Amino acid sequence: MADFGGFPQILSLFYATFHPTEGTKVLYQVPPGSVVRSADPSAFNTPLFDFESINSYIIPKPQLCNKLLTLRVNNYRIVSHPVHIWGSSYARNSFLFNFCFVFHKDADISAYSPVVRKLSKMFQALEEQNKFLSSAQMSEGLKSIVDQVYEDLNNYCECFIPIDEANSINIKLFPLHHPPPRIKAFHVPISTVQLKAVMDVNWDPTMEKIVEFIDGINAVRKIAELADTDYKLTRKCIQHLMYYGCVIVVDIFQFSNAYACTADISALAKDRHVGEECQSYVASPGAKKRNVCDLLELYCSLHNGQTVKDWYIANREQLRGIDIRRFISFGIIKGIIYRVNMFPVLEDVNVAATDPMDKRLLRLTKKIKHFDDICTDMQTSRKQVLQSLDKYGEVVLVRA
Amino acid sequence: MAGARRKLLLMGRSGSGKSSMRSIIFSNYSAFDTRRLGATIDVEHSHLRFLGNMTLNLWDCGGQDAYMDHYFSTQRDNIFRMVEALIFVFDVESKELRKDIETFVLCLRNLYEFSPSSKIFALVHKMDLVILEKRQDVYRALMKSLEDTSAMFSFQVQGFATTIWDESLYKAWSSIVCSLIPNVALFQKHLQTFADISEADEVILFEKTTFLVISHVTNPRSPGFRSDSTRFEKISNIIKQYKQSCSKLRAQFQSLSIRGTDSTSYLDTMTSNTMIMVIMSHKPDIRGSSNLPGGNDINGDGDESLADEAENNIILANIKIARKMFEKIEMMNPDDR
Repeated sequence: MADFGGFPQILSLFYATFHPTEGTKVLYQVPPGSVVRSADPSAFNTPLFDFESINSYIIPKPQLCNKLLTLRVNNYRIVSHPVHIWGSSYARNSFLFNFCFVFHKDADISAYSPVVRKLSKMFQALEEQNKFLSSAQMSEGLKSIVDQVYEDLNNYCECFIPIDEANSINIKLFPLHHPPPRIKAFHVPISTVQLKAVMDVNWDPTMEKIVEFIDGINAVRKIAELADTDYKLTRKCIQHLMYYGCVIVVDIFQFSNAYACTADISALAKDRHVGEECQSYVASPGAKKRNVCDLLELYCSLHNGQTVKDWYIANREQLRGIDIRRFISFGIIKGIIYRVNMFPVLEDVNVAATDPMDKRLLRLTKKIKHFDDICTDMQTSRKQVLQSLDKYGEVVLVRA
Repeated sequence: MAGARRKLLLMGRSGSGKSSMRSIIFSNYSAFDTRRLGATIDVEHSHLRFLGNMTLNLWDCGGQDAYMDHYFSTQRDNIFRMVEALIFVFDVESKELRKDIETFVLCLRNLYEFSPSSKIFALVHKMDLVILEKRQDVYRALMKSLEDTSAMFSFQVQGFATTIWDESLYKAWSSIVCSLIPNVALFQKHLQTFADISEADEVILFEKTTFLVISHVTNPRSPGFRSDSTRFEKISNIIKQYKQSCSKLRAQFQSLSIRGTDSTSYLDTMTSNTMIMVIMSHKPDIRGSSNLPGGNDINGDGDESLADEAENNIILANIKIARKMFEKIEMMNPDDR
């Protein structure tokens, strides 16, 4: 799984409402004294922040209601979903309330957004059905619900509270991952977990078929071919695996590729763990581990104008006992080297294309695509592509 | 030129009727419609163009305790700075009148510090809930305390007894807004000239959207039956409601002429922001020789209608000619005389 540090703790959970003559007030808070002063002997000495200064954002104007609202006050972040219910049965024709969650300002609250929304919507439904909140007005039941949500989410990351025969609170925290970037046909997935071990009978059939071909060498297109599955479905599966951190994606390894160092190359020198990982990963089976200095020197010797083939020839002695493909892969994955792509640019097309393949090729070069992309798409080699392009005008190769 | 900007503070206890008033006068709500309004959250700002050269910046301040605390502490200079007029609303049914007056004093104190030249208005509101005989006493009793407290800060408070259920609301707001119009004296002067030339009994100038009275001129020589001093606001109230009824039928109100036994009233557009009402009593010579008892409209057509039409045309022509002058006054820089 991708690095996951655990869900942030809820520092305080409070329920506020708009009173017709008093205005915004906190009806209940847990832990006691965390938001407004409390006479309770177990309460905080001073509240976490000054509630007075932000109370107009806790029950905001109707235009900001029924939306997720986050606000930062001093060192804390408050996530809430204020609710505004219109109804002639209420004093002043409306009922406004808000359940607010307080976190530390640097906490990653992405997992809580759906929870806060869900809780608010549920209470809104309860209020609309049988005036659960407005009639009870801080009944013991509501207090214990707030207490329990606070305790359970902090301790178990999930909460189940039956409220009545028809309603219950059922929430669980899920980490929110970033959506994965688009995967191209020429990308090569490398698995970071033992996929076969994690798989079970419930997995998608396409997934089952492609897993054995994810070996860090086959590109997505090739995997689809070998597994005899639909290319689009294969791509989707790889994307799913990426989302859950089970694979990472790199370029096709070829000796004609060129690589160069990034600014992060210093990580190899500074971070001991990275260095150790590198040592074990790049060593050929049966060979002795090389020391980090040598590896660093080798990485630094990679540069823009030299293909891996030439680089290998130049550094053959130092590269004994090192698996070149793994060496390059490690560098890419850790972001200490980057792939230098070559983009063919056709200047002045002087002859019209007749061949449909050529037409397609010309169209591809019009968009900014590098060789890997073109070659995978057209299923031809780089040499063939260059030969075809030469017929139509001068080709300029741009490295980036 | 943006014109004069006037900041008005509308304050008072929660539920006293501030937002209801605002929506009736400035947003075409009927008194009945106001029952579906919700509580004002914090301060509602409205920018209202009034005539051509003035913008009213109305601050409708929510009256809940939590907000009041803010106004007098952290928000003090934001609220009380650059105020042209304070309109404080007293709910006549308030159980804590003492506290309301204290809040009023706090406002005065802050205005004294931040906007010492501000005008002070007090509206004793929801008068419909007080029995008729007691109204005068209730009003005077409260005004006495307010006058005393205002004097402490060298302010002069002007009071009005109001309710949304009759024309008193229009009287109060007409007075308030007119006191803020930069060149209201000029309107008065030219309206007088117009009245004299037209030989009208009475001429009233209204703002077009709110129908608040800007100015009125009465000919002292006109017959004495004009004794109802509240007639101006009554007209505002009636015509505004009539306009609302018209718009419900998708018709735009444009003009009105009412022929009575002794006089005829014409209501027409003066400028793009104003309407003018001209009341002409029937002159004996225009009526001609028809002296039929019980009125002169038995036939409907005939001599009378010609004379009416002539008069009608004269009035409309006069209005048209005067229009340019009034448009000029509206567009004037507020500092011009």
